[in-house]
Amino acid sequence: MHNEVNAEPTKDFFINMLVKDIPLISAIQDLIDNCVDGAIRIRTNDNYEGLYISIQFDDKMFLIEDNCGGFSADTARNYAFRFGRPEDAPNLPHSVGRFGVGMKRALFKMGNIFTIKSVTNESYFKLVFNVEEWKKRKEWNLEFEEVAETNQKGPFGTTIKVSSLYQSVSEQFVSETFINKLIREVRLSHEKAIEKGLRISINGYDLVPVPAELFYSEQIKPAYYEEMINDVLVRIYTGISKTGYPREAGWYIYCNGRLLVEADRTQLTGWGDGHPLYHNSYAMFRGYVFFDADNSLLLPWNTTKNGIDMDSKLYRYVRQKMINMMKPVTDFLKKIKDNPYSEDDYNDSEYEAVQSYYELLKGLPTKKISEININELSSKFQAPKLVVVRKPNTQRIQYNKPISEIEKVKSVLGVSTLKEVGERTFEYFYRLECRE
Amino acid sequence: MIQTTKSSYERINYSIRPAKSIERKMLCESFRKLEEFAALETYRYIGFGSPFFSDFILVHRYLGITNMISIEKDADNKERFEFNKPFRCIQMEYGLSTEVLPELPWDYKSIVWLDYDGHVNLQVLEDLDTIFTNLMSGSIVVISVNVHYRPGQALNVMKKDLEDRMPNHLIDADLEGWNAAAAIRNIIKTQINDTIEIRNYPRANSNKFIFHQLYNFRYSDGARMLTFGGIFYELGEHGKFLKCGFDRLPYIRMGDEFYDIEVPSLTYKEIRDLDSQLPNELDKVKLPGVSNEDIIKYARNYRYFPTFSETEM
Repeated sequence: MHNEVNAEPTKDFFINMLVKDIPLISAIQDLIDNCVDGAIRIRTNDNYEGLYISIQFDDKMFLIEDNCGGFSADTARNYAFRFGRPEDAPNLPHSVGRFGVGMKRALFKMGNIFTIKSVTNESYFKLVFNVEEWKKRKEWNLEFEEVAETNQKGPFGTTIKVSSLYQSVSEQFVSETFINKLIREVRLSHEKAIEKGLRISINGYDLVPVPAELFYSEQIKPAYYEEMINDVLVRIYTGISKTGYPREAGWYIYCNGRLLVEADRTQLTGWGDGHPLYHNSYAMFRGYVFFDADNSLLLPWNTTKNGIDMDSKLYRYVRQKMINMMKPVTDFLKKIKDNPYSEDDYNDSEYEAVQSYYELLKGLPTKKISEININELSSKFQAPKLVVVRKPNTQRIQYNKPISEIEKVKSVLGVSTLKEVGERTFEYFYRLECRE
Repeated sequence: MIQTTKSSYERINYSIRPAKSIERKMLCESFRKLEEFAALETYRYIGFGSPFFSDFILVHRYLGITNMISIEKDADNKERFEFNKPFRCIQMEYGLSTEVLPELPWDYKSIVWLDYDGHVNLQVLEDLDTIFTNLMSGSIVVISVNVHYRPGQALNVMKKDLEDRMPNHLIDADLEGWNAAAAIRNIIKTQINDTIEIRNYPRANSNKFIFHQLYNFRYSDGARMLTFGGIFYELGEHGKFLKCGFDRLPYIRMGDEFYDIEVPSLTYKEIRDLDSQLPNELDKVKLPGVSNEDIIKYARNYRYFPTFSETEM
């Protein structure tokens, strides 16, 4: 009787599945995440001065090198090259790499031959992996080319080289657009680590962080909320930034310091679902969410770590808070756009504002969010108030007209308030009939 | 059409709409039961006062609530609203409810009655989301919406109002006549429960919030209207909820069934005569020339019926 059914995966299928949906940039980010995890492991004081990650590539090869501690021959033997994370794998608190597929996936994505060398204080190894040859073999195991499990001299770190690059990859590696995009994304993703002193360079460019700043003073304060939810610390900021670039408007979401979602203006963060759709009036809006957990499995990221798992209950809970905290900010922005002099607040008086909101904001300082004292903040955005003074030499006019006519005038003028109707029609008459 | 650009208060005086007036008194009476959760005078009332403030007058007079917020979208007529404010303790907040509600502090137990002019739409759902994201335990929320759709246009109108929140399974017949009330009740209820479910995520079982329906009124002073609402509390306070005894009030509806407020057309002389026979078993109440049906309609609601002697001076 021969009743055995073969259900073993082929290596080809396995590799294809693994790399199918991952963009090249995310693959490289996975390798960087591993280096950053090394820094987190060896520097528990959050100071990464002296540590570096260097990335170099051209149309022939890709090289990533760090001095972030390396990983041991033992780890390589038992965990690092397994597909998927074994249950007994040691847990690194607060890590950014977690699913146990990052490194292999990244390497499979790029080329055919990888050379991995790592030095720790207790071991050294070198491993060469030729994918084409490996595919031909039945076994899944790999072999060290060199290994020494004795005390080693520093610097401790890892070097990974990929050669025999796939053609589409080597084409991207010489594209300026690709390099720019990679630099931008790595800089943003690891801004927090770079701020803590980690040096990351890509093809010789040192990445410099551009930390987020929000308007902050006695008059204007961002909203801040924090909550420990089932071992995940969640911190949310909403506020406004200098006018700058509308493309930077929106939400930024970090997991364990790693930026996952940048300048989001989609339903993911409530726009058009719980909050009105994004509009350029909101260009100054900024929201930041930080999820931090020792156990990175608790974080709401998806497996490719290029986004948020929208089905996560934790995320849905936090999203509700986010929407709640963004509304007062966006309402303020809408108000100052519609009414830069805030006439609404003193409609029936003889007063006027000495300056518009935009002029007021110009004079106010911004501050890096990491430097804002959270004890000064509340969970409601505090909007600035305009200074008003008595209007000089003006007088108020008031009259009644049939609503149907007013509506017609409104639509011809393209305005929405009665005040505007009055002012615009007056100005129109004055311009045509009274000017000398 | 001019009508669409006007607020409903410019078309009709709220206080003389009889079904609305009956509903208002019923709601107000039921709010009293909240005493089990906290002293009523510590509650805050949020509503759309419009220039008549009929609900504010009742709530202040009969419940003693002084923390009151009236949301008014018509900022062009501030003078008029300030003038018509019946009590000093009413704080006016100008702007759309979607703008004002997120700005309010929510650290009070609240009674919120959003009496919308129009159909259920995305703004209504957004308001519900804001309210139930922030609401304190022991609060009541009531929503009134117009459920009157023109025959054949209901689906299209609703789709435009609700965009991708439109329930896909609805067909024309679901929105025909009074059927729309049931469909819209479901949409509102679903929104409330979704918001609460998300908010409950980190909370321990006894601290989880629930929404318990109390009101499911249908009435028509012209357009068909639905008033839906209920109480919001932490499960740990379920005992207090039971003690309130909402179910002793005849118009409380905790399930799918509606309470219809129907107003028979009666003269004041007839009303005085019927009053003199009530309360009583219904088959014993008689009045020449008035149908039994009308007598029953009247007898169900007579305590809340607007009468001539009742002026709001």
